[in-house]
Amino acid sequence: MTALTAVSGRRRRADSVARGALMVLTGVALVPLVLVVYYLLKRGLGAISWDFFTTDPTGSFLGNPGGVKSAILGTIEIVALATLIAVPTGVLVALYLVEFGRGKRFGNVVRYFVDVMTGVPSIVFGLFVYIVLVTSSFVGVGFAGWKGAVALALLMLPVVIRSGEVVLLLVPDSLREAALALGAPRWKVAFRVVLPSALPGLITGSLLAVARAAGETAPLLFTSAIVLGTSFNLDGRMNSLPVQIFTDVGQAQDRLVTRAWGAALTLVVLVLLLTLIARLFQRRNRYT
Amino acid sequence: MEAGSLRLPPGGRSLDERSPASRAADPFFRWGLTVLATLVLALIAFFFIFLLSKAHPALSKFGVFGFVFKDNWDVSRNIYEAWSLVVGTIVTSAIALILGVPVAVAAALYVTELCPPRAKGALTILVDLLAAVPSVVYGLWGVFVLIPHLKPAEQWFSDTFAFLPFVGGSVAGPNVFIAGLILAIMILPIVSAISREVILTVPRDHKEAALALGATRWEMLRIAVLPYSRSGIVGASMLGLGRALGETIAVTLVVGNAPNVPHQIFDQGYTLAAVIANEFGEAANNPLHVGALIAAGLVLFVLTLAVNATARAVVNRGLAA
Amino acid sequence: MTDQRISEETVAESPPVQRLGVPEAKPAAREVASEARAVRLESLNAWYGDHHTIKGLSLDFAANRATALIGPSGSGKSTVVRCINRMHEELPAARAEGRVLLDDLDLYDRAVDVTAVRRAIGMVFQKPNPFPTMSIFDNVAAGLRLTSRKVDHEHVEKALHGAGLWEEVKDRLAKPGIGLSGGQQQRLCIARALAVEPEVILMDEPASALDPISTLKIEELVQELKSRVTIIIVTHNMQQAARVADSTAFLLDGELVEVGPTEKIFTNPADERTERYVTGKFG
Repeated sequence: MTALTAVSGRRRRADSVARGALMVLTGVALVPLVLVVYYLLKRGLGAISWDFFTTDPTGSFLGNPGGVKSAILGTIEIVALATLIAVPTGVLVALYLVEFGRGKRFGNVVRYFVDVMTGVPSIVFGLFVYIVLVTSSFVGVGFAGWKGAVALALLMLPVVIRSGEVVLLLVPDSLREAALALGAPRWKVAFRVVLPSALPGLITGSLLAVARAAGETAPLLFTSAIVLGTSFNLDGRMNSLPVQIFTDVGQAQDRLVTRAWGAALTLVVLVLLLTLIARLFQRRNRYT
Repeated sequence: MEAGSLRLPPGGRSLDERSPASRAADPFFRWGLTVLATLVLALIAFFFIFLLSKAHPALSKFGVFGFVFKDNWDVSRNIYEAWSLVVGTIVTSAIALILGVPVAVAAALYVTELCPPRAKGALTILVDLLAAVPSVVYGLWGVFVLIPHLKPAEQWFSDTFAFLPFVGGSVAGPNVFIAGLILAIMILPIVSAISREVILTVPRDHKEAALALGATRWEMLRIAVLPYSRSGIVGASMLGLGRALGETIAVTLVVGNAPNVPHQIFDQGYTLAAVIANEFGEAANNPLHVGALIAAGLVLFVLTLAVNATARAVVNRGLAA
Repeated sequence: MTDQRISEETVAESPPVQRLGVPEAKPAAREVASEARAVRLESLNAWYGDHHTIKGLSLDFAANRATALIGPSGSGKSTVVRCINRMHEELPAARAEGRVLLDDLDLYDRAVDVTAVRRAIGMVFQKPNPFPTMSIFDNVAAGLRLTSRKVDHEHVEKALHGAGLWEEVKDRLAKPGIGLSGGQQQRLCIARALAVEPEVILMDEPASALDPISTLKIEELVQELKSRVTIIIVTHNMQQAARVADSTAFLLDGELVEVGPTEKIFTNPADERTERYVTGKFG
């Protein structure tokens, strides 16, 4: 009977061990996610209540600590403003890179620096805005919600530009050429033809940038700081969820810590929602 | 064909002149966008200059060399020499790499090469979801879950393996190891995602060549996939490093914020980013202190720039290969 | 052995379908040649997802001979060959059933380890694929290193001789494998396959990506190697089949149409479809 040279036990074992190890390590990678979600639910759900969402933090240590209304509203206000600043700017810069900057020296320089910007720690952005806008008398000294929004916008900008560029590049050139051949000027081609067809991808990229900005603490520490009351005045101090959580964690008080867990749960839900919507959008509108 | 090089058809007058007004807007369009892009560049240059100027008081008082390499960060005496911060930054990031990169690459390998196809999508999303958790939430979780729960295990490790360098002694609650561990978790998604991309570029040809020689699955990964992906994975790790270096909030909550060079992994420590977040409030009226914090920010900026620029070059080389 | 050249006149003179003289089999140089084995396919069926690509194919490949598989694109030639060394099942949604016998051992038997099958049956691919991060030496040694840590320099040298590449690379064994020309890379891949001393070598259009001179060198190699190893070669080039193969099988739409001595297939095929294909009426 014909026989083949058998595979040695050593090799077989090495194969099983290696594959097992890879699988186990992948499981290890998921453990933190599970644990974070578990504790968020375990300790955060207890803090959630109607009051939690509708009252402002009172700042008192002994009595009722209050809820996080001003933090939630503040986050919404600041992030909304940051989005208003970052997304149109970012998309326009991405448009520039794709329509006029392909292969050109200047375009490459811009692209390189934008890439570099994605690696800058968020606290450095906060510092920058602090120096330029908060301490200098350029625009009025002091903390302000809108300054926080600027810091977040700086954070979002490189992300929007890079993802926007990728998406705009996917629009086939034949589409552009067809429009141009019909006599349309470049800017019309860009706004009426290219942007609309890239829109779903642009929305996805922007939503992901927003999700990232919503969770940032460091830039806001030096720019919008913290304040207890709900404020709709973007020119003054403004509360935000991440900063509120950060401050509460620093206190030794049980009730504040519980509130911090509840606020963290709220923040994570917000960020996850944005991320999931972005991914769902991406899946439904995939550019084939 | 590049859109930037398209020429309008010459002599196509009748079509071109449909609306002279809108044609005229074209140069403005191009110019407007160029100006915007230039502004972005200028912003970055601005950044650097501003940081430098505000850091100047501290840097000139202690000297750049003194600031970075001497160890004496004493707020009460208004002395700011940041070596302990630099060491803390490097040590926590190193721990993050040691713990995080193997897990991230293993997950990338598993998802792309070994796992059943139906699980691929779910596993990918789950690993990527780690990136969606905000830094402050990791910090919160680190303070109230990781630190108390790991302390006994850390103490056991410290006692059992005291013969190893950097191990041994009493375990502080918040410490450099926990900071490194949380950083490892935070860099996992980015290192894994890029490694995944790199591994996917390995041509099927090479994998088949290995299999056709009678290699087991692991052997195929070892001789055909990993060597090919090596430089890309290194680049991915460097990008992870860049992130770890700059991470502020989670670290400041769990590292202990003690400006001493840690002697063992369970000592308290401090990082450049954490000191900025931590001391900013109290530094407000002290221009030297503020200057020192900004100088720390500058050092951090330069460090992350260097790491990220190198990382990108390495990744691009790895993907293009 | 590379000094043995088919004279140019012979190449020029012979009409396309006439076989050239088969050079004498060289005696095994240093060691006992591994036993070549016969391969038999019995009712082989293969699928890509729902697509039934090989339909109940039965075919014999004689030991120590070269058999060519010809047929138009899509006829399943590559699939058949990939089923023999069980590479077909590596593709997602690919499936194979039936028996593939190496002498009397069914390679699809449950008890058989697929990696052992692939060690005994070597493969050379259409596009040369040396491992890009390895030197010439390491490429040839790759298969050997799987089973033993220390690699005998002699083994590598012997394999390179067997592939007709030794003279050209003996002074630069440490250089990267991808630094070689296309034809040399393919011979390097042949050396790599030879190093583990297989009993059968499968070649899937090994010369289709190469220039004519390299192609000729590969064909010479096939003729030398078949004395030691059973060779199954897929080719879309009928002249090549005529030059190197003892038997030829014609496949159409996943089915075996006709098989026989190469000369007969090309000059006097039994099936009308074979006749139409070899005379170039389709495919």
